[in-house]
Amino acid sequence: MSNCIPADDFDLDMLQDAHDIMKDKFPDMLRAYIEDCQTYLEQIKLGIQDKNADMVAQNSHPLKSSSASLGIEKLANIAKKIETSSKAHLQTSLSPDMDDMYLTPCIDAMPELEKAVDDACLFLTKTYNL
Amino acid sequence: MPNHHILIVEDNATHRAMACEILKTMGYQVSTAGDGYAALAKLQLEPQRYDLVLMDWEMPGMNGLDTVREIRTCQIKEGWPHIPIIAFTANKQQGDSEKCLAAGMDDYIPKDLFLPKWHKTLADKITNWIKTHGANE
Repeated sequence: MSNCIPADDFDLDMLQDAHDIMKDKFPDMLRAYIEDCQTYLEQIKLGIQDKNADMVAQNSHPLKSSSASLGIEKLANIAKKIETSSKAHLQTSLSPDMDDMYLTPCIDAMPELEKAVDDACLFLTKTYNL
Repeated sequence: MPNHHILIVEDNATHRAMACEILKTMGYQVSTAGDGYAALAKLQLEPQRYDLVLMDWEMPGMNGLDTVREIRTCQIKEGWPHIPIIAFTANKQQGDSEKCLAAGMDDYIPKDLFLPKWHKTLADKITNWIKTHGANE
């Protein structure tokens, strides 16, 4: 796990805005977000393993949305790529079993996604003493 | 400004928590539901309680469109009062806004307003909407 996370992985202004809104509830929200990230990541992995486009889409979408809301940009962007690919399959096929054309980008993005989740969780935990 | 009660229907926990805090800071009473089924359950218990519903478009299970259709059906069949419903949508496809209105939503706002940097805009939009349309008086 990297101890030196590039600053442009995060929109610190957005994160501060979220902190300003949530005030003393912010740490709890972050803890819930970190826990959810792990769940979404596991579900996306399972979905890819099973070639299940619904499962991949349904978990990459909230991972993207929540991360974007907190200014966790790199993670949001990678999740968006995976969401886009899985939804593209769902829009073009009646079967939830992902075609390789849509599955391969998801598989390729997974190492980056796992690192982004790790980096985000570490950053938030250290920055906000969770 | 009357103490209006807003129901936020949104499956994303982060968005739901932030929207709730933004609107509470503005002085509204706020309830939340994590999906369409939970929203219907709350409305079934007390249909007169809520002055406005903010409805996410894309939710797992029962999506926003299906939820609002079900609410409008209950208005007719079970005599619920008309509950104003504002959809929030990414509005990325042509016709998304029209679909919202056709399904029975009263209005729609961009989902980007749920990002923290737009929270004042979101609060102002809701307040102005209630002033203009009266919510459920």
